[in-house]
Amino acid sequence: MARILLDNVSVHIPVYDAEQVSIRTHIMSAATGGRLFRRSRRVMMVEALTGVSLTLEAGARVGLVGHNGSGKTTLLRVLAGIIEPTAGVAAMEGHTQALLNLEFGINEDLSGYRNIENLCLLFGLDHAEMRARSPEIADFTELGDFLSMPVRTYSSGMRLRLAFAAVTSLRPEILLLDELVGVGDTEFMTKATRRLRQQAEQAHILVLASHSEAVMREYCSEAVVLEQGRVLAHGPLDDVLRWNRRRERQPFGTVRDGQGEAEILRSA
Amino acid sequence: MVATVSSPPSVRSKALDDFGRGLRHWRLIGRMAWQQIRLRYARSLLGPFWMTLSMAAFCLAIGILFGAILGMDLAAFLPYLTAGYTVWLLLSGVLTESTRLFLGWRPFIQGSRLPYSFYVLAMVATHLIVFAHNMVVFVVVAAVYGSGPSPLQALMALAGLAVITVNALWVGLLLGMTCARFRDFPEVINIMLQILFFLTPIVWKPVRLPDNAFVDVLMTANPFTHFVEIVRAPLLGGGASLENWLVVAAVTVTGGVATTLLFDRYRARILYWC
Repeated sequence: MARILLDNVSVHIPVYDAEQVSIRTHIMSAATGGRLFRRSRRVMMVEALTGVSLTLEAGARVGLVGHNGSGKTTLLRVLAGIIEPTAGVAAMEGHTQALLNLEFGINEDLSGYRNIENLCLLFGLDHAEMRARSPEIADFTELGDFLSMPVRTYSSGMRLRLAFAAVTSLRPEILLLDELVGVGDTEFMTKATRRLRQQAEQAHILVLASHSEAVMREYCSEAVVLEQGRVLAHGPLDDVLRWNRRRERQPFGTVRDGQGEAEILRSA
Repeated sequence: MVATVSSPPSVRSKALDDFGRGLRHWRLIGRMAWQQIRLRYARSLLGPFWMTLSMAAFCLAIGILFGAILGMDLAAFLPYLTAGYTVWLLLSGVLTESTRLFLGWRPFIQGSRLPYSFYVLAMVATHLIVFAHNMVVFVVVAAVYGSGPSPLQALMALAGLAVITVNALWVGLLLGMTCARFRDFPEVINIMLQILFFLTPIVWKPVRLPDNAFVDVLMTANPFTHFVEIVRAPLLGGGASLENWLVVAAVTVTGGVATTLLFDRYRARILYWC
């Protein structure tokens, strides 16, 4: 049974190339980006996530909402097991696949078909399974003759088709997608929707980060709002989106520290 | 994209656990190493054998220089040179590529849970394939001059190669980590290799001069001397000395332990250093 449990997870990321900036002890919240603090003279820390607690059960289709730098990608990386929390516990049960960038596993000078084979092997399939699955994945991409061309000739939409087809073909119990699905065209969206709906039907979990409300309505049934590395709300999609819209209409400068905000509880 | 979630990591050592997980991908690693090499020489006539040609050209040039100008006996010198230089290319190649190892794989590191040893193993596999291509030159030279290893000695040479491979693993991991964090290191390694090429007996044969203990010490203290000897000596029909094997063993153990300790401590941060 797929399950995600985050308990008070924090992730602090050291940045080594930050320019010399004087940081006062308490900074006013900026609209974008996480909290910054200085660890030493040359090392700046970014509080990418702070005290994130989240429980996602099987069948959840979750959309991550938040400004750029609010912690969506970091959260996805924690869920994918790529980043270890600096504090707190992250426990994920179930076979996980994540599509966080379009360059993973891709060798630009090889053909689309070769890349599909490499991706299958990277996902842990053995040679026999890879030979069995590759045609199915190739068909799903609908890239036709382009599959024989090197990937460096592909547009980003084509790369997305390739990557998406490969990642979802394994029907993972937990599927993580980062803001990439917007790159696809409408025809692709329809195909993708069908595949992603199956996620929920098979009691699997989907977590998707996106700026597009349309995309979220298409794929998600619940939403989580992130800001400056904190979870502000988690609940049914419509309710959370409405709440978030109302919150954003408030005048800039209101101190928002994550406490005292109306937290929408999940309906039973 | 993430490789299949594996069982929870062993408590013993993150480094060993990482290599365990990496080795499970051995087939894919071999495949990717070959793809990389073939791509580098794609659309060329000779393909990967350009590496062999390049090496042959170097050895020929040095051979003519030392033979014609310095009057060295080529029958003894050329096999010595080609064997030694092939091993040197393996050692220096691994060191050089390790300095930029993780930086080159950034999309993979940021996009998946693949073990770090995956990239180390891919690098080592690539260099072993190059080594095999370069060895062709030695085989030809040895055949021409009628000098070469007996089957037993060939096995000894292979054992030496195996030991070098094991060392390449910890070097790859250690340098990969350190050079991602401290960007001065790649330059230091570069300079070190340039100097070491001349301090290691490859284009010159060690002559034990009684009143030149300094050169003697330099040569002996240089670990590369010994790493080259354990493969070259058996290939030339002899055998590496006990001293060679002791130094190699000491370096292997020290390097392995140091890398394990450092990797266990800093593994979680490598992602941020790249």
